[in-house]
Amino acid sequence: MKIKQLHIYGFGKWQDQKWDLSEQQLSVIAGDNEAGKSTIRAFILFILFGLSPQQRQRYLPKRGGQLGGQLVVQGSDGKDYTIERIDNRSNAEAICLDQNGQKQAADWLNQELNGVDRALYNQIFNFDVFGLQLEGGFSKEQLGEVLLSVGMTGSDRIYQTEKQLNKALDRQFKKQGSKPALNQLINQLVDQERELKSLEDSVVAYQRHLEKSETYQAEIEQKRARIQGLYRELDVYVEQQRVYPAIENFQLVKQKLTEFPEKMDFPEQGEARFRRLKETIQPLQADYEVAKRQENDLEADRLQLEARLLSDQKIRQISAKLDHVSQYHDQLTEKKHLERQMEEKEQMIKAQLNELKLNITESELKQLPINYTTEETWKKLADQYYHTTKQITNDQQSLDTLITRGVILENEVAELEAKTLSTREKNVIENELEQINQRFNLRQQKDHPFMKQQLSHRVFSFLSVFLLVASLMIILVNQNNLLNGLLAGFIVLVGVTFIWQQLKFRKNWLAFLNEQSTEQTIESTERRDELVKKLALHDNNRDQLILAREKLKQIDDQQMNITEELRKLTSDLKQTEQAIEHERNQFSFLTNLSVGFWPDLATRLREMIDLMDQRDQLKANHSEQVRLLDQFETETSTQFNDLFDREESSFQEQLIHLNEIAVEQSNLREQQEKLTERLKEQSEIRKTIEAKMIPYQDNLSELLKLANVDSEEDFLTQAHLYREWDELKEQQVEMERQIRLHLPETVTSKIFAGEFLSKNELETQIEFIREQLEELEEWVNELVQKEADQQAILKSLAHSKVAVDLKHAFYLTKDKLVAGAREWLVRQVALKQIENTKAVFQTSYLPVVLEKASEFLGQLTSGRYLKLDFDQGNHELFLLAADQQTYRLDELSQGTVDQLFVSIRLAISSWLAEHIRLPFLIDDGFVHFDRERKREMGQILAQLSDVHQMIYFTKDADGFEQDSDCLIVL
Amino acid sequence: MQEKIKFIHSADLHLDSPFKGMSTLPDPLYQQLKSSTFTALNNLVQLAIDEAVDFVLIVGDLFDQSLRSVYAEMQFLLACEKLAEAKIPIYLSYGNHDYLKERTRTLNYPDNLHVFESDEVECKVFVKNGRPLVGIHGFSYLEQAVLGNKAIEYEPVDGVPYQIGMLHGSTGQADEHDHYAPFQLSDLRGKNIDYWALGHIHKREVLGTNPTIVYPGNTQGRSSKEFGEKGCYLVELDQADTKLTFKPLHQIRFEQVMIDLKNCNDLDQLYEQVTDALTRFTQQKVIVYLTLINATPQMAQNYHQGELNEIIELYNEQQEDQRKWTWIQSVKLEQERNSDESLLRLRDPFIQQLLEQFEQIDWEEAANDLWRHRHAKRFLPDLTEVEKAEIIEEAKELALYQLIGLNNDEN
Repeated sequence: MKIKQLHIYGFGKWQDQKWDLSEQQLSVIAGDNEAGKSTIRAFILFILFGLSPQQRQRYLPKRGGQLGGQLVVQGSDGKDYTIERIDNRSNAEAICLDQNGQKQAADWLNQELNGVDRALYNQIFNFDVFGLQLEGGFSKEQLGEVLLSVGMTGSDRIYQTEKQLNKALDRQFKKQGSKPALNQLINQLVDQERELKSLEDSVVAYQRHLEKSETYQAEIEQKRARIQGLYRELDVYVEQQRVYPAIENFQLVKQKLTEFPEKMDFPEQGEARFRRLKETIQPLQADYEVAKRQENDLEADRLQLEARLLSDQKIRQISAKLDHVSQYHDQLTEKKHLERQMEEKEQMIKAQLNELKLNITESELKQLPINYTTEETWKKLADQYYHTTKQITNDQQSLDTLITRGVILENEVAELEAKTLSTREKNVIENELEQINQRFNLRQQKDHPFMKQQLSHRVFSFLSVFLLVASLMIILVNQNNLLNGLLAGFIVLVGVTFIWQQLKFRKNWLAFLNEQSTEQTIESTERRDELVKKLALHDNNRDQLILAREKLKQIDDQQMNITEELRKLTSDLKQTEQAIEHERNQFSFLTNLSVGFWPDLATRLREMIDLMDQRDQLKANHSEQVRLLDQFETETSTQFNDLFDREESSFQEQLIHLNEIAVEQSNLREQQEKLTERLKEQSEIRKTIEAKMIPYQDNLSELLKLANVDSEEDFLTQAHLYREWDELKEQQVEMERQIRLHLPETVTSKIFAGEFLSKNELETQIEFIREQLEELEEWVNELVQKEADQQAILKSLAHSKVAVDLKHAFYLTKDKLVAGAREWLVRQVALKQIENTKAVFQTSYLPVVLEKASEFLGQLTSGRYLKLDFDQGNHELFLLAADQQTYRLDELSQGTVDQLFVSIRLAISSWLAEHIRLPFLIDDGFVHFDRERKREMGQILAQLSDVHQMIYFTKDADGFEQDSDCLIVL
Repeated sequence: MQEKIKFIHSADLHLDSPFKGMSTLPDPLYQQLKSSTFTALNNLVQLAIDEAVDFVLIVGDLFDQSLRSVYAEMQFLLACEKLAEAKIPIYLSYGNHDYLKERTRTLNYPDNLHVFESDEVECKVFVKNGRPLVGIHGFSYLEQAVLGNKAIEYEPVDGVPYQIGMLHGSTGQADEHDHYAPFQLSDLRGKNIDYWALGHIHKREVLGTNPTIVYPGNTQGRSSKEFGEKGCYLVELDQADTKLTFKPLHQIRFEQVMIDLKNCNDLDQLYEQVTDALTRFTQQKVIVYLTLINATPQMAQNYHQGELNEIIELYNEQQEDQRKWTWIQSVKLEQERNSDESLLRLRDPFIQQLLEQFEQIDWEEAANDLWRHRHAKRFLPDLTEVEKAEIIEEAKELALYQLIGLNNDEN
């Protein structure tokens, strides 16, 4: 920072005063005593650092007005700033503005001052050159003190600090002391530690007691186990005593068993099984015998029966023959029947021949060429002859009738012709009638308006129906509501009109009918009726005449037809008669026979020939039957000759005998079958019994085999022996079981081996064990008591908090000691560092200052003195002159001493201000300097001003006149 | 679906442990503090019963070797018996503070206590409803220091659905505690263990999920460094998820409280501000370490002159008789000195030299008188670097205060 201008608004004696300082670094403000130099110095300090309100009172403007002012300074950035303080503004706070009047931040000034406060500024930058003068000598230590005192801290403060720290440290701890707090804590800890040791023992004691307790427990366990063992042993002996009879028995049985083989082979429950088997087998065997016998009887019967039986072939032959016997009988019957028929036919032939009496023999008759054609011809000729004759007679009669009727009809026709009108008369009457009718019709039909109306009515009706249908179609097709509505309306309208028209037409129709009836006149009607009647009568007569003429014509035609027919019939009759003659020539016997008999004769002849043929056929059949019968009889007799008795000559008897044989054989066969069946059944029964018996027999054999014997007797003997052995064994097992039940395995095995204590020995043992038990139980009771005591001790130890509390107390004390020690160490460290710093400061920095001071002194004294230093004892300062002479302070002139101190002061300041660029405010006092030395001083200041701005306040400006730029004279 | 398990993971109970820095605590409060580790144990037992957990894990440092007492063992025995009644097993491994060599068997514990007696990792199987459910792996410290990586010894066993690893140790990175049984997280993640129940580090921390790796912290704070809530984790573990619920067990908590004195100009205001700041701890038992920041020069002066302490004493006096209390154990003024220091260095060569001097302290010279005292040396532990640094700071502060602290201004 560099001050460029001072502007005092009001400060002490100064009022509204402004000074521009030199552009150079050095400014000299010269003025006499009371000229206001110190006030300006105070003003600068006020602007830079402020003043307390009390201190400001001292500088209130004498002539009234505002206290305050401003400094224009060049900042560290090379720009100008204004620092202003006014007494009654913000407690005289500094307002800092840049060239543009922009206010700077609050700590701008502090930064510009490099944090240097007033005190430090005063120490280093604002000083009176003679402020350093000390009375008396100037030892190295003293100069060190000076250095310390010039520094911010100040030597006093350092000493004070040392003193305080030492005091506090002494209060806390003394190496050999006992009163200080830490010493007390240490002693306390030693005591507590001792106590702790004993507490640690209590843990060991607990452990010891615990171990003891556990030893007791183990011992008790052991003894109890022993007691239990003894009790078990005792139990065994007592039990042995109790089961002693069983033991004895066991041994006895064992002895008996020695007489038997070690092992007996006999089936399990062999005897019982053997007997059971025998009991089961016996009834089976009886049954078997019966069955066997029955089977044999049946077999004998069967053999006997089989001896009576014919061979199968023979039986089959008889059977076959007998099958043909019925046929034989049928043939016999047939033969008789044929014989009877033959007889009948013979009779009939003879009767007929007699009846016909034609004188013809059978053989002639047989040879006649009569066949069906002959018969037909005869019949036809007879019919023709008969019918033709008859027709001729009928026709002759009809012809006569017709002639009679023709005559009658001719009379009728003549009568009718008289009654009938002529054609002219008839035309006259028809014309008149036509005229009358025309007249009526014209008036009624053509001229009547109703007819017209009827026509138009028909047209209207047709139109109405058409419109209605059309409208309905449109409604059905169309979906337009409006149009549909309109059409529906239209339909209604047409419908109503139509109905109205109908009603009107009907009314007109009735009127027309009325009109027609009334208009006819009676006269006209009567005339017309008359004419009509005439015409009708005429018509009727004419019709009858026509009819009669027609009939007459028909009768003429019929007469002609019948006459023609008669002629034809007569011709036919001639031909027939010729044919008859022809036949009579061929068959002579017909000559005398009327044709009317011919048709039957032919038939009867024919029948007769047939009868003869039938008779001949019957004869042939009969012969065949006789041959067959003979053949059968012969065959039978030959075939079964051995079976028939000689007496039985009759074939019928033979047949009866054969039949009997057949029946007998059949019965025998049946018997044989039954016997065979029964035999089979019986055999089955026997086999079943046999099968039932086999396993039993096998078992029995098995038993014998198992018993290693051959016979059942041996088996029973063996069984008896085995039973005895088995009973003994059972006894042994039972004894063993009893012994095992009550005694342990170790003992029983010995007993079974024959090693066992006698009754007396047992009693001795029991007594001995009981004594042992008594002793042991007593011992255990003692141990239990001891263990309980240990448990009580352990419990009290475990629940005791004394140990815990003591431990915590120890640790708390230790904690206190540590905390105190730490606090002590903090002080100790602080003190040691201050002491060390002081020593370093005094020894290390002094040479630097002395060197600088030597430089300044040499300059001030124009090289007369070269060096400033302390003597070897570091007690006294001396100067080395250019002539190599050394001078103590008391050997120097006052002026030189002044120069020496100025040099030292400047050296100290320049050394201290090495890193801070702030203006130096140096007050004069160079009163003892001669002009030359003042000039030198100016040069030093100028030299220093290379680094710092120098504002030098002096009484007279001698030595600075030549540089008027930097001079301000008050 | 596998059965879910529920257990408590606790560690570092340090039963009957001494408390550091409590020398100024009034006796009634100190008595409470003394029993607080046991209260935490009782709280743990009650929590296990209330939550009907399957088992309880205690991962080392159940006891504090510095205060081995039969009483502590007895208290733990009672706790075991209570849990035995509730049919809750306890799986216990010993750590660097209660290592096996130092332990002599004293009491007979009930069967529900399963102790890992070996310094080799072994597995104990927790069986529920007749079915093996959890393989619990762990080891105990044989000596105080276990320096090898034990994590690599853990191997899951077959036939159980869950695997839990109990490991009392620290990661290589932990700096507050000794590096015992050091492990890398990758070691733990590499094993097929479902839950890593860690111990040793007193600060609660979940180091990882999948698998879950957890330090539950200790159950009762013992100094200003162990501040905040202290307790255990209630863990619910199934095949899909691990649910961690922190459950506080402490009786007394330690707290560090910072108060900004920017707007505080007199002692009345200070008292008010302190009272306000500590209101949140009512209904608890709390030991508070106050740090004051941004103090005005006036306050700093009050602090250095001891007037501030009087205010604190006034506050503490009112707390002492309360059932629940907040005790201010210490007050520290934090000042920004760094900028001041550089300034001081510039303007005052002596201070500059002094500060330089503080950088080269001869501890032997400074501490010897006391630390080598024939009695005291047994009780004073060697200073740690951290403590040395703290002492330097305090000593520096003291020196500066004494030298330039107060009336460095003419004003």
